[in-house]
Amino acid sequence: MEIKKFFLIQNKRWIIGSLILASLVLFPIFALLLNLTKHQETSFGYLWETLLFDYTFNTFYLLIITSFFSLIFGIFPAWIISNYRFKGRQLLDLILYLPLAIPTYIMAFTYADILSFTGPIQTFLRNNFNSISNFFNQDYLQIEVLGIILALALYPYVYSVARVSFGLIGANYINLSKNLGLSPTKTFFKVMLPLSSPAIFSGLFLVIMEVLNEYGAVKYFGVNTYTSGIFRAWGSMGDVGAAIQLAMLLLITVLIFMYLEKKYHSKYKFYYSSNSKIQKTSVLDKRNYVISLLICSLPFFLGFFLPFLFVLSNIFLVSNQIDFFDLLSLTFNSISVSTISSVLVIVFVLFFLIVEKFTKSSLNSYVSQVISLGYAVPGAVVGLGLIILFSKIDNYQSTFVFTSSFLVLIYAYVIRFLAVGKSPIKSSLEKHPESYDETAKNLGLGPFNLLKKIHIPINKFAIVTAFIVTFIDLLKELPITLILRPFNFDTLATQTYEYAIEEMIPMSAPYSFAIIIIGSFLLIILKNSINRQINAS
Amino acid sequence: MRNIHIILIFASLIGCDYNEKKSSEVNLYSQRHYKVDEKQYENFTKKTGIKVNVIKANADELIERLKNEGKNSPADLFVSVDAGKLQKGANLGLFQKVSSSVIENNVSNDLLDKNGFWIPITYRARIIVYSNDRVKKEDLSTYEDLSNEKWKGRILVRSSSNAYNQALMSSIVANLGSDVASKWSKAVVQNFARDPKGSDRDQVKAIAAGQGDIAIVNSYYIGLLLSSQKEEELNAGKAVSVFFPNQNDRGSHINISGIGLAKNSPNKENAIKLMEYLTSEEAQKTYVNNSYEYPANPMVKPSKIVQDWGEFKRDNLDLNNLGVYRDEALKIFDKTGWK
Amino acid sequence: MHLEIKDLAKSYNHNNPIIKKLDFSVKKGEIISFLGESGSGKTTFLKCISGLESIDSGTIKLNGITLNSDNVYVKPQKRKIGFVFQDYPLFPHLTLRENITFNLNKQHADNLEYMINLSGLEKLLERYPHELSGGEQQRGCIARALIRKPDLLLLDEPFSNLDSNIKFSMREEIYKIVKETKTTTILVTHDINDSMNIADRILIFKAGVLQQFDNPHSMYCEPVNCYCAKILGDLNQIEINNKTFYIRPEKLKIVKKSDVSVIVEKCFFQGKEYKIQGKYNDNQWHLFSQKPVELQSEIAVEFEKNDLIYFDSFCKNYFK
Repeated sequence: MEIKKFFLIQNKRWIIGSLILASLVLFPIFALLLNLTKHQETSFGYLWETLLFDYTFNTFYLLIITSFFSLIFGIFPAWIISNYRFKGRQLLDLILYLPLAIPTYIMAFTYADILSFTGPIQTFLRNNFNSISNFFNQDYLQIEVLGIILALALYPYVYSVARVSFGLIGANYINLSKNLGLSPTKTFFKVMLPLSSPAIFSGLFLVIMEVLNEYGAVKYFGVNTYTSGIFRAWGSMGDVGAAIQLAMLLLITVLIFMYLEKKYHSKYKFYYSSNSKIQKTSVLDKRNYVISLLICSLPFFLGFFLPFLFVLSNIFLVSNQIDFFDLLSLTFNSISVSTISSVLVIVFVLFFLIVEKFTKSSLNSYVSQVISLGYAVPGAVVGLGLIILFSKIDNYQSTFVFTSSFLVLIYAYVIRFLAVGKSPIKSSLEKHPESYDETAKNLGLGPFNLLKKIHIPINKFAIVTAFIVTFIDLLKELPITLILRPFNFDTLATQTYEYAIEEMIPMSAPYSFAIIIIGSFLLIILKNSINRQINAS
Repeated sequence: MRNIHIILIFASLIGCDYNEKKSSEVNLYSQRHYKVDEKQYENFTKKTGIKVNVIKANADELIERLKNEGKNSPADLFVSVDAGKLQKGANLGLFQKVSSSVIENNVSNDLLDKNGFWIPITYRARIIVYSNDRVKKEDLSTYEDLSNEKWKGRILVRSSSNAYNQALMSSIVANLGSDVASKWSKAVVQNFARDPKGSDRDQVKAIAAGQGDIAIVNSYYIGLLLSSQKEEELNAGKAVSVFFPNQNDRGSHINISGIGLAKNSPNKENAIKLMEYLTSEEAQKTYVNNSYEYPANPMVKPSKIVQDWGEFKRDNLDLNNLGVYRDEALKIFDKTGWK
Repeated sequence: MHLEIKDLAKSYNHNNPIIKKLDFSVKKGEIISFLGESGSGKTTFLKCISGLESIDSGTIKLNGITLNSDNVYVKPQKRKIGFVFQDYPLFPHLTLRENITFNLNKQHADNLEYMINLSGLEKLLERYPHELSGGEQQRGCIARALIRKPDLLLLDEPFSNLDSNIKFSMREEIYKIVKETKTTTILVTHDINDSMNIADRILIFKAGVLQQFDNPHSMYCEPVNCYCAKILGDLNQIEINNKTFYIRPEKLKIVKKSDVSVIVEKCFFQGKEYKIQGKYNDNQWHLFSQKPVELQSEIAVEFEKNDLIYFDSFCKNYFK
């Protein structure tokens, strides 16, 4: 027993360090919850009677629709591209990721505009096909339409995991099912899909998280979900108690999904030996070629091309009113604050993961899982919590250092997006055998050098991926920035939003465009290096 | 080594946007974020050399922030587009009384806060617009009349989560009492052409699309539609006409954009200077020509488009009521199913 | 003694001790084979010695230095122990040369040329691990370990992942390298052939304790219990005077007539001989023959009394 204690002391410094850091990450969330439960206004009682059912139903209904369409938009193209060779395949593989560059709220406003009575579709129909234009004159601001729109923005999460999964499933399985007499369709449904389901479910999990956190789009479409309920209770009614009760409901929902995802993941942990031959792709005949082309380009067309074109057209509309200086300075703001935060996220993630790996302590593996919780809390809740927290600190110090600085903003970003940066790095670390760590220890390396000399070089690619993915998410981030930004500080996202809710969507176009361009550029870089990596190995 | 770098970066960030107390400035917590506001502040700075720093967020978030920052809040002024929020701030003790003869001379006295905690800079009416084709002016009269069965399936309005509607309902509760307001709301909801969604301008577009016949919207949106770059929006604006309700009794419901002076304002003199500027003729002219609002300064005329709608009688209810009855309004919305 | 292990105990949870009590010593320059079944705790044992796992109690002394004891624990980084893992983990982002010289002290840098020549890796130095064969990777790992002149070398299942045609030459290679450098070596394996060929002594580990620790010849001919005996080869059971004796198959000679006769059940061709599986008094017996034998026939066998193996304890179902 004493020896065990003695052993633990060796790594204690690191374990304590990571615990301190983890509590820094989690503390605001707990402080927030603690503080807000102090407010016990009674409004919640009547909330139960009137609105709770509505919120619950809408939230889950929206989740179902978005999930369903995300799966459709994500899985089928992934299957086709993974398994068949045809002209345009490489290009399609690349551009199918692009909708990730478009924030969900921009997607929502844009489509609301495109589909509206005064939008291009109905206008065109009225001018040219007047007789049928009436049929298209519907109220498109429905929850089902919103679900599809969100799916268009979020399907790349499903597409990317499905793509990797289908690509990795060894030729053996496919040859085996051929040998057992299964048609391609049956092979897909009975073999490929079940084998890929853990991966696909984790992609779907991300979609679900985004939907639960969504505010701008649901508000605009008049869909009352938990998140919009939180803002309404807290904002409109100033009823912080009800807001936090709803937030807890939301948090519980998220935790349930997190738990399901973990359980599913561990139960169906299929290992694909990385040496297994990748399925040789077969060639398509003409008819199937056209169909495949359609299936694969539709999500891109609807999820990126059309909105992008629309934003572009809006820019021309307001081209003489664009304040380029403003645009440039906001771009600088967005990029710098996202870069700094992404770097910090990566640094923290590496620290936590290396401590977990090096000390093999179960405490640390809990820590690693728990720091991901920040993702579950809606951005606005994080923002408000920090305002309250730092205001208290400032009040004691008689300064206003914290509340008016970037420190708090970046702190909030890091808390919320730690999970995003962690995911690619963790999967990559898991792919390497434990014997690397043990050999390194055996050859004399401590944790810092282990990170520097071994894990960073080997996982270089995942680290870059994590950085890019976190960066793009931060570029799009809205609620936290709205609440916590210092004086005179705007980002592309906040400016877009402000114009949009003031119903000046064309004016928001240049700023949306900047976000989309930067995001697309990074995604293309990322995808290209993924491809190069896959081809190299 | 790396640790020191990180610490240095943090330190510089803290210092970075730290307000240099040396140069002259004024700090705004503002809900308003139009281009015209930026122009106003620029002009003010040009005129006086005082720098204007702005944090934009929605009113409730700003109020929470003010509440929590307490004594050490750097805020000088709180700008809101809703008298209800100004009342809320005043009620929470976040403002101090303003007394400036300049301001009192600049603005219509009936728009000023009777308690002296906030001043108006512009105002607007929440009016009824109606389809030129399908509705006759004579059909319309009051807000209360909207509960009439004849409007069944014809009324378009945005969500109750929007402050403009909340203010309207507050004014109805203040004027007519909770019970009447409740019954009214219920009946109006029955008359909805569709579930509330979208913005004020969307309601007008929906009229043009034939999805409803009348809509409750803020006056300046019509101005914005009529001056839009997009032909379709222009057409939508032209397809409707403006009606000011309750002209034969209390007058149409209005709400103001206003400013409160923060209790612990560190730059009080500069703040008052800004308030005086924004109510001056020069600034008021800028407002009316860009945002199609009505000026708080009676010496300034509204823009041409707005003038064409004619003059109207304002409901001169104490605007603080828009805050006092806010909670009640929300409860009524929830209970009567106005989503 | 170069390596001394006393009362070593290790468990992952209280009900399941992996190592109950281990006591043994190794002389400098010896090659010890640690033999045990999969999952018996062999790898854990190696990790304990190298410091990668903590131990519950006991002492480990290497070259006069106490590595583990009640109040001592030397970090794995500080132990002069080389460890070659089962999957020959060369760092994928470094060349072979960079791997071998990884984190190498200046004082050892001169050993590079010698090590390279000894392991036959001269032409491969600038290659990356994925460009090397399994055997080359393994030699690379060994070179990496030995260049630092460790007091002890640990090899975890060095031959399991190799093709059988390489296995023989690898055994030779490793033997040569280790003996040349006079490195004390413990190699852990589940395959007895690996042990017999190159180990100076074999340690059989089962049920958390040491079963027998001796040179291969003694292990084979004088097994201390049934388990040890069976692990090293087949045993044929025979009752004489109400006592149970055992005899190895190769000690049985086929003769024209004798008291002991076996009914042939199966006859396997093994290249240089035939292996016969049969029954003697309800016991399954194995023996060898130069010529094929007809199935269901009876053959008479003879053996020397000295070749009989006897255990004190009855071991019919020992460790089934």
